[in-house]
Amino acid sequence: MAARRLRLSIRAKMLLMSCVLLAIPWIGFRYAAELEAILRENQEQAVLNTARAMATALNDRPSLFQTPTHLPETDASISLVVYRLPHPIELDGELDDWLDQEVELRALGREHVIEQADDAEVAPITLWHALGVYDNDIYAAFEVLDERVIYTDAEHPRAESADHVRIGMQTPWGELRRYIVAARGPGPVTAVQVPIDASSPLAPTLEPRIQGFWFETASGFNLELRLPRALVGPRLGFAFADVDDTQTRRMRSIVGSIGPEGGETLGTAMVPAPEAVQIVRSLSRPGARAWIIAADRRLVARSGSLRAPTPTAEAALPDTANSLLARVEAALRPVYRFVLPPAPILETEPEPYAPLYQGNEADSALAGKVVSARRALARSPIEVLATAHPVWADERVIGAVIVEESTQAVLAVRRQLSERLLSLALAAFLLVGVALFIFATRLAGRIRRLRDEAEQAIDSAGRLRAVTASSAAADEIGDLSRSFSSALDRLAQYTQYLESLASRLSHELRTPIAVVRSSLDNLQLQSLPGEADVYVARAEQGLSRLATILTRMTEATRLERMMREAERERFDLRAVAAGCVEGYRAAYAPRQFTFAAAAEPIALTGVPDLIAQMLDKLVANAADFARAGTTIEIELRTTANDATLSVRNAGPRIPAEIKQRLFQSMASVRPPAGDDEPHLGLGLYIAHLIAEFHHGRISARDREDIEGVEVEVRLPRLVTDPG
Amino acid sequence: MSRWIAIVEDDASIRENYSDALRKQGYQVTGYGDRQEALQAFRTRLPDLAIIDIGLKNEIDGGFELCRALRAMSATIPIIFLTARDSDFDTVSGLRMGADDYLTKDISLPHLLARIAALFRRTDIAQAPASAEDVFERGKLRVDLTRMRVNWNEAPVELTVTELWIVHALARHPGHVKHRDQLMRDARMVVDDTTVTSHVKRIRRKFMDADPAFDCIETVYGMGYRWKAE
Repeated sequence: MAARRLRLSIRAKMLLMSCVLLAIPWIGFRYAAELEAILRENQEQAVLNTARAMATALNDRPSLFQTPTHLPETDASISLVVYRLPHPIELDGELDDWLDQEVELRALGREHVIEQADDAEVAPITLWHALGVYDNDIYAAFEVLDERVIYTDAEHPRAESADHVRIGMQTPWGELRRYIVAARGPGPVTAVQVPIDASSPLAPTLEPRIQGFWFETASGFNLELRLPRALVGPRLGFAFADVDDTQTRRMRSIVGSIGPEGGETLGTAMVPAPEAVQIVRSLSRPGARAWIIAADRRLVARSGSLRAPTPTAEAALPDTANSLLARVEAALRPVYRFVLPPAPILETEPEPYAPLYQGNEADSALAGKVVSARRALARSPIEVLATAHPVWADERVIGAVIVEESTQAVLAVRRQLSERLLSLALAAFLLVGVALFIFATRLAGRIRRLRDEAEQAIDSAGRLRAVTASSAAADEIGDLSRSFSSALDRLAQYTQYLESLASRLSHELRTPIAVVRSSLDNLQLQSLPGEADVYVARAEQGLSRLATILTRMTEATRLERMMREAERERFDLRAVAAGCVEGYRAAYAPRQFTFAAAAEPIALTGVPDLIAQMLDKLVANAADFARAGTTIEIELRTTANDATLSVRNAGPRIPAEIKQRLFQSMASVRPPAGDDEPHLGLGLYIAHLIAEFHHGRISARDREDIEGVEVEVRLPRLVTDPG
Repeated sequence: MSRWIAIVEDDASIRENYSDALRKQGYQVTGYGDRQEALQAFRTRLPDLAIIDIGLKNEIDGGFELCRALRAMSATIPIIFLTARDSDFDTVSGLRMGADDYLTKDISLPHLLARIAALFRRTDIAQAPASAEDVFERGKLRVDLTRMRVNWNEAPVELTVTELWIVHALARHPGHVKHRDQLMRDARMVVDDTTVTSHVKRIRRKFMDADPAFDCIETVYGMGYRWKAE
């Protein structure tokens, strides 16, 4: 059993083929990946170049690195950075002038507890602090979070009995000193110096050179201090002691950067060298962060931010703000958000501050090697690219430059490119799809038209209906159409030749027949011996048969000519049929005829003589085949638009082999009986011609009620009756 | 004096056969093979009757040309056309060649002779004064069989010999239906029904040219024709 073939129209096939276009976005995405790799390489190179430039600028300048060789290793967490302030701070307790100068306040809390009472709980963040230097003054800012701010009073005049800030420092000449700042109430304060040794009986002395302002806030208090620069050496530290109970005046906790013993455990206060900062600033790029560290990993200078505005994605690709493509992209952006992941953005500065550079790259750089590394950020596809470059002086590594940059820009560009690619791919798809669809539709339409023409060119009887108009197109379909038309042309010519064979033959025959006839006639005028008469008589018979054949053969041609020249008129089909039947009754006696028709006249347009002739042919046919003694039935039926004339007889059925060609010229199945009437098979052909002339149709089929044949002619009626 | 008949026919056998048969009847016959030969002879002396084949040698309508030339020389000479094509009938009729009859080549000799005799009788009578024999009238129709003339409403209608015989057959018994084969016999020809129909159609047209209201020839479908009595 043959499988059913799936029918795919040309359009469907074209659309399937256009799926090959899917290769475009795939190629595009591969390209985008390539581009991203290239961009990263470029970025690495640029970062490396920047690090190299910075390192080169810093080469052979050990002074910038200010490494105090005599200082021991210090704990990273208690190292302080002192900022260079462009303007002096106003001691008013409000920290806005610190923030205006973009100074970072650093938090200290639970992790920086120096001392703690057993039942005390220290908050994760207890205070924020910052240090700055302007001219000859060092400023300190403290933002303390304290639920109960306790001041000194007359009963408890000592600073340690209230909330206070402790300061410890090493002077430039090596002396260690301790100061305490407490307040009687909000307002200006002055520090008191206390002996280093807590158990010393010496009384605290006022240190008027250290001034400050105590400002109470909703969450605690702010303290701003000014110290003379000359007083502060390489070490500096401070702490906040919290007292919450006015009765016991007990210290709950001490949080800060001072070691419990003070002295050697004080952290260092680094004032970044201005030249180093300048170099870093001048050579850095937006979106890059540069660190300069000394050989002991201490921070010398730091500049830049990973979050600083990078060249935005929109500027990365050529500006097409007003173009159609940009507008389409803007419209489609919500769709893209579904398909493509959004471009990642650095929300917060990663590792905002670390006095010691944490990354491993520093180790390699400090060993003298240039190294690049990537770190992934938590929960983000952004990576931080870091390049570390050693700084040399006298063939010794004195420090390192580390330049960091995030891959945010690269990722943004990649996404923009993907968006652009998607738009282009969509546009290409649409364009090509529509074009192919239109083309396929047109192509399929042309082929379909050709198919329809082919089916209609030859009617069910195998006769040529109309020669198709050949297409003028200069392609394969046009060729096909032209070949088909020429094939039909040749078929038409051949058919015409065949159909006119009869009439041409008859014309040719007429002259020889005339010769024979006139000769015979002359012969008959002679006196002939008796035997000759017989032969003459037979010759005459043969000749008259020949003449009849000739007449019949030309009948169709004459009919066609008559039909061409005939003038149509209105006539009553019923009257014609009735009259004919009367004639048949007389002509074919004793054959019986029945005639069934309604009483009303049936108006038709045509040539009544031809209708009569047609009926003659049909009745002659029926009479020839009808069994002896049977009746020939003639019936006229009408519908709103047609009149149907049927002639029925009882007799043999239509043989299968002639069924298709019944109404064709010269189709006959009569046995070559020895009767006088030669049958040329033209009767039904002529009937068919006449039926067609009247815009009707003729058909023949076996009867269902009895064994016999029914021939039916359907003719269109004159629908309107022009009064 | 015997009449002189000219036969212009390019087929030698037919020409000779006809010539022999006509000579046997007592006519003088000359046969010509092509138009030029015949025309040359006619210029010298006109025949009493001409039988012309339309398709002569290489000229399809050579016979028409000859007929025109002959008519120009004499308005009364009887001319009979012979043709192998029945399409010529309408052509000839339409062009009003002025021929007295047109026949297909396979007409039998007796029929041909009958026509020739009738035409000669007409010529003879034309010289003599009119007599009232063989004339009958039916309404506006007046048929003079001898003179081979038909008048409708006093106006002459040009009919060929064959057509005249058909009209005579029909009008002789007005109201009676004549079958086609009867008309054939009366018109002395052996043809098929369609040819009879064409003849009748041509007759009708000629009468209607003379009188647009003419409708005395009635078709009885399935039977034949009938002359309507007014």
